[in-house]
Amino acid sequence: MADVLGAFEQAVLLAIVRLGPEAYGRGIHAAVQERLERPVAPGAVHATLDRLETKGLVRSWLGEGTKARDGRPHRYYTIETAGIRALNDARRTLQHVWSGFAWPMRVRG
Amino acid sequence: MTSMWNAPSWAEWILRALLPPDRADDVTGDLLETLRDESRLSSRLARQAWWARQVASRFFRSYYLFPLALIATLIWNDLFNTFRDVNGTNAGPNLFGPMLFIVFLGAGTFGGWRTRRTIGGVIASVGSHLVGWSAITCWFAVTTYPFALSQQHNPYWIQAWRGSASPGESFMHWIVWDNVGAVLLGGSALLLLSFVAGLAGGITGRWLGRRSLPILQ
Repeated sequence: MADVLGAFEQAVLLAIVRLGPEAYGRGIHAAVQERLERPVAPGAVHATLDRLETKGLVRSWLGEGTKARDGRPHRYYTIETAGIRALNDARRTLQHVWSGFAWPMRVRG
Repeated sequence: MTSMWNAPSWAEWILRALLPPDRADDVTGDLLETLRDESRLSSRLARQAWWARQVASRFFRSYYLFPLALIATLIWNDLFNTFRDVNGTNAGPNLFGPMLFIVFLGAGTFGGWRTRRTIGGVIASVGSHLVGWSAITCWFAVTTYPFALSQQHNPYWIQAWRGSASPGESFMHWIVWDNVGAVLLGGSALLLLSFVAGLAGGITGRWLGRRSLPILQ
């Protein structure tokens, strides 16, 4: 089995799935921050996207620019079959690790 | 409301030097869009600080190994230089100069290869030096006094103090200013070395990158 995705990688991949054809750097960054409920450095998202693309889990291409970006192009991302498989593996692993435990756990006083 | 703040030219220039050429436009575009959505960054100083954080974040994510290697080399050298035996023999291998050159050349080569630009190598090497210089200044600030307590019992250091201190100058005063001199003069010399080695590495890395040699992949 390939390496299991970390939580941040899962958040980035799920943001790409959620955003669909509108998945580009800034949009993914905003979606990840919203889901993780904490500030995230844009550089962390860019570095993760680069890593996921190197692993063959996502694919990217350049699109048009807009006035909000001074005409600089967007880089759009889409998830590959290997990316969906990796997300399923990560979810399965987590469920397996947690099987047999009640959630949320209670602190014993 | 979206504001139309621009990136400071220094930040734009460094970011472009740190990024591969096919990523420079879309990454700086994302950052520009993010900045313009950030309503809390209303002052010019806050926006400059935000860009400085983006530049530092990009540098550390790409090149963190080189400043770490540099800091380790500088601390290694300081430990062996400080804790000499009574004859003044430095027990460490005499590899300080070559190690520094290899770190700067490595940073330059990796930077040139990654960005396909010579300036990418220079920025990687000089940036590594600036981080290392800052770290070693903190190291000296923290260790000078406890190390000096040990050094003042070592005949080698006592002789060095007598040989170069001003009349009436205490050992502690002398050793503190010796360290200040090391930070300023040594740091300036290393800045020059990092530029030269980064330039050589940048040219080499760019050459390797344009031939698509599968090193460092």
